[in-house]
Amino acid sequence: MVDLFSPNDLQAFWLTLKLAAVTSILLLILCFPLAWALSRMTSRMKVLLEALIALPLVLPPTVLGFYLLIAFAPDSPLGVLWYSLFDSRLAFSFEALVIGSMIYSLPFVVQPMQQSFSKISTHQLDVYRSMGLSYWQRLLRVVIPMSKASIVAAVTLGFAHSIGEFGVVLMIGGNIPGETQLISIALYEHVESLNYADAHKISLGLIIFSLIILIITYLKIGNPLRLDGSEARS
Amino acid sequence: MISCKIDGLDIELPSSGISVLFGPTGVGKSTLLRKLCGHVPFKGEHIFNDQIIANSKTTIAVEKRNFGYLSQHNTLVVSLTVKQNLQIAVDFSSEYVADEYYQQIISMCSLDKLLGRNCRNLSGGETQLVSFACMLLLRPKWLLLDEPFSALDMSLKHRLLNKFKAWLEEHETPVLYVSHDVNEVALIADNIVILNKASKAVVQSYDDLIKDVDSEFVTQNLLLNTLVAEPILVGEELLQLGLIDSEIERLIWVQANDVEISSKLMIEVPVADISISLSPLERSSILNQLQGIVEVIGEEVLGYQYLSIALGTQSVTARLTKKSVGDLDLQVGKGCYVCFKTPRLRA
Repeated sequence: MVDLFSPNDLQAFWLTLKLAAVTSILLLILCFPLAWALSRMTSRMKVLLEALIALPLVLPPTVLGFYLLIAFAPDSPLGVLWYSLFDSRLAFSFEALVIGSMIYSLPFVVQPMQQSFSKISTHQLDVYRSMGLSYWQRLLRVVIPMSKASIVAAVTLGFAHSIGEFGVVLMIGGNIPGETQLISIALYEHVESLNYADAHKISLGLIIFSLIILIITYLKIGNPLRLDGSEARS
Repeated sequence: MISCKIDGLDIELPSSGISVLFGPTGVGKSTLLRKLCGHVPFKGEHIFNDQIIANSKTTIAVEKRNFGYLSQHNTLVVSLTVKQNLQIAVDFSSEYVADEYYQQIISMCSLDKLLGRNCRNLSGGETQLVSFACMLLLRPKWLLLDEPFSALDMSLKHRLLNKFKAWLEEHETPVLYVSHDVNEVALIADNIVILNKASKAVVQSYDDLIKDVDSEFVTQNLLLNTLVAEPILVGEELLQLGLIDSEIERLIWVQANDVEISSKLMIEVPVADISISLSPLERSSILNQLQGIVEVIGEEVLGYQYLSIALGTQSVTARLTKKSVGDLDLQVGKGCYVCFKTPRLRA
């Protein structure tokens, strides 16, 4: 592996994995309550929220990247706030990539969860309420086991989508090796400099890697017997 | 006593036995149940054995009421196994669930072979059995069941209902049971609450209800009479049964079908199959001719009159044409013979 890829590409690969992992974990924490609230919402605000969340699906990533770039600038309110809080620059940092990548992958994580949560009727939860389960107990023992497959699917999608990200990170990353240079950008550079040999290696490697992730996920979600929700038992 | 004044509906139920909530589809039976559980807000008050459950000032939180509510929808956690679903009920039971009791409920609901199954792969009837078992494991102080066995076949349903009645005798839990199956009502109802479109509720005992021959229940819904009898002579094809609690000997012949013979058997006699004679029929193929006394004669409904005829402590409802009632000069207190063919033994 070390011989196959250049040290620079390997570094970009590990950074991409790290970004995808951090992004998907943060998205899980953020999207679970968001998806739950959306699934229980009946007001008209719901449509607006849903449309906002779905926006990254239709916008060119570069549009998102452009606005993020402006928002992350050192003299922007966010940039100033970030500097005063963490004493570091936000633009062209790993943290900036995480924020961008979270916004970009948000719909992929929210939507499967929301869909699954929507299938749980208030009626069903009422039955468990009468059985004596508190709000949190209902979440833990009814909602999570019922939606486990979708939660796994959502996080996997978020992870896979973050790995394949290009447009946003190109705009806000700055392509700093070891800091913000991701694998998709390394590939872009190889192609730009006509280094097709390395470009092939990365491309093929990404195809195989993505395929493996998807197969593992489908295997797991496709078989409900494996999702016996044993974790939900106390 | 369970006393409810809910959105203008006054209902008082005894704090034991099975009260069946009966009424046409769409009349609000399920909604009433949900109001009683506290899932749907209402105006009025709800008092359970002197304890205020809800009124305009206070309400006990739904989680703290210890009511067992069974919805007519599938509410199991379908991604879990049957055993894991039962475990939720065990964990939240009002009493410690001993192994022995757990096993008793499992076998009562025929779940022995289903425990490891994923609930996604259960049939509608199996799903209802699991949900019902959860209710019994929960040991609530009131059971509110919304058509709990609608997906079960007749014989399984009757067997389960009999076991349920035995369970109730031991555990003394009042039950409010939604049904629109008249035969089911005949089998289990101690009391019946009839909801009608005018949002009025009438509560009365089942025995009183079927004697009220002018009621909508009798003239529009009641199809079968249910009699309780004990076996006297067991033949290969025909059984001879004696009516239980009957002062004079009243014998019934029934076809011996695959029903298990126990000391107490239920016999179904369709209301429309009963004919009345003033003297015993001689040289007739009709074997069943039971001596009785006319108790109630109803008003005419579309050329028919419904009569309640006492056979000792039990009674049957018969439907006769107005002409027959007039020709036989049937009056309250008059003796007669209740004749019918092909009664059916109930599983």
